[in-house]
Amino acid sequence: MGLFLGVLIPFLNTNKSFADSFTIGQLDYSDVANFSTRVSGHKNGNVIEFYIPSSASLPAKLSNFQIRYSSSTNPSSGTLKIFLFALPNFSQIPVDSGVLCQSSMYRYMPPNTYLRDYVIASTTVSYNYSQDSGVLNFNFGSDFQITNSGYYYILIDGYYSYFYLLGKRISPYDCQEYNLNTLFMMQGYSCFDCDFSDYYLYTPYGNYLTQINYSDSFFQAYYSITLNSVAPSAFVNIIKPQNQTVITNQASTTPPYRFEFWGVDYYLPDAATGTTATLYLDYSSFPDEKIKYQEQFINLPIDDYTISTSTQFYFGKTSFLPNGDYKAKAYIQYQLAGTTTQAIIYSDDVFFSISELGGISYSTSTTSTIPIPNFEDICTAPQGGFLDYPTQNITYALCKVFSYLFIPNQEQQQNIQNRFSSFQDIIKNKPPLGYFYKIKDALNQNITAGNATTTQVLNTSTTQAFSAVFSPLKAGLNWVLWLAAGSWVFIKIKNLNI
Amino acid sequence: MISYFLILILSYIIGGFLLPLQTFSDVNLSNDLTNALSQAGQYLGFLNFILPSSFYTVFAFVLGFEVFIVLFKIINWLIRKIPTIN
Repeated sequence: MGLFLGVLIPFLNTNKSFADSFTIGQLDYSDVANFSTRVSGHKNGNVIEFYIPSSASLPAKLSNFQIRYSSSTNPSSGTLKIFLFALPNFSQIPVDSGVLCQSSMYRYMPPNTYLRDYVIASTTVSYNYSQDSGVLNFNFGSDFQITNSGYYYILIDGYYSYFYLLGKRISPYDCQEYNLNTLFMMQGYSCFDCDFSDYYLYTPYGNYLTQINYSDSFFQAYYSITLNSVAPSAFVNIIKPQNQTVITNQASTTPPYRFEFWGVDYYLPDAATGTTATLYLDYSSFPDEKIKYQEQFINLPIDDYTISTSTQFYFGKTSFLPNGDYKAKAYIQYQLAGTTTQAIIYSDDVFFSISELGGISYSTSTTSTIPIPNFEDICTAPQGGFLDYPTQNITYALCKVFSYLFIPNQEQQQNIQNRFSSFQDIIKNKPPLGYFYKIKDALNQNITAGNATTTQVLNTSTTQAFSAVFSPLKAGLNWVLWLAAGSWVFIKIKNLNI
Repeated sequence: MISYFLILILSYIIGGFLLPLQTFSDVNLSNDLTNALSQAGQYLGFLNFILPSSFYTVFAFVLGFEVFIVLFKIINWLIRKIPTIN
């Protein structure tokens, strides 16, 4: 670590300004030894670390990432995925290797705070004997901003194990075991903060596995990372009930809490000082979205404080919610600084359920996850041995067999879910249905938000006054419309001449 | 295990059907068009206060049904026409 910083920080100090673009670190392909030392400081050869100093002008946008590596001695091909994740409070405290060696190790490694990880880029790479890859260029996309100084990491992930860097194999998954019978699918260890002497990479050599100590350098590459300065972005988020101030009026402090207040966290750096903003919060029954509600708070003050920092704001829930599932979205309409233009920002959708007595629980997903039972949940274990309880033992054995045969385990469930999710992505992003989804999303962006401003036909604050009339009317109209559609189809089929 | 493999087989079949789609590049509409649609949505947004969201669903349903009938008639006409082609 020391050597890493020793090499990198002087470089950073000469580039404190992020005004235009800034290269965090660049290392030439020939500078193998230094780079390797930096990387192996974390005992993980496929992680690049870089440091954003507190003197940097933040927030800034990560815009570009380049990598260069030499090919394997074995011709192969695979998928190269680039992940970015950040552990701002990085610590060298050793953590149990059983946890670390999982692919999700970055998310839960205490005492660090997980920010996010996601695939930045994915490309299919192929390589031949001792061939330089050339410079591969990846764009981070526009949605990742560096807002805090600290350590950040980029994980170079050789997917499906057929991946080599400089002739050494990296395989980040399944570090607990390998299989000699499936030599070429064998996984190598890849631990983030493991004991140096305990973890090895394994690389196939003839019919044997060649053990390579992690202290050997195996990731040796040219890289450069570029930061561009960006204007801070406005946001609004619905605060979930982890914040105790949202929850009141219940003696018990254990969930579920009684739900009486909404909370939002907003940041409007580009708003005009001295103006006011209007906060809306739309929520509806879910998934049918037939019953809609809206909270509105006018005259949200915009002052220097709210412009320079994110602000939490709470307001009362005015509608009584029956038990059930709900979806909510907040949005704020405000005036942009230096103009008369009104801007609107939206929160992500938040999903929550109301249970008995108005208790509330949140979920982050649109789909409820049904826990898959294992045989212990289904089958009742016999009270004694086979001779004492033969029927119960046979029943238990049969129950276990059928559970095994017909109930997919978590891993299988995840695999199926991943496969069907990928189908959904294909359908939504590829022609011909991709066009439909794009159009639908573009239309829905404003239709579902009920975003009619004073310049467009009708003001939401005006219509809000009539919600007591419109809500039941809409429920009635819903039935009438479907009834009319059903009648129309019936008459159409009855009189159809083919 | 059995359920898992049945679903897996089903997923491979679906994957096979979707294979040609994967060769296409991702759909990309021009910003002008999406902005125009978004603006249109803004104008239509006020209808949300009066009409239920099922209005759009019913409209799409009726439209889809009409298209289905027209396609059905065209295919029927083709089937009847084919034997008379010389």
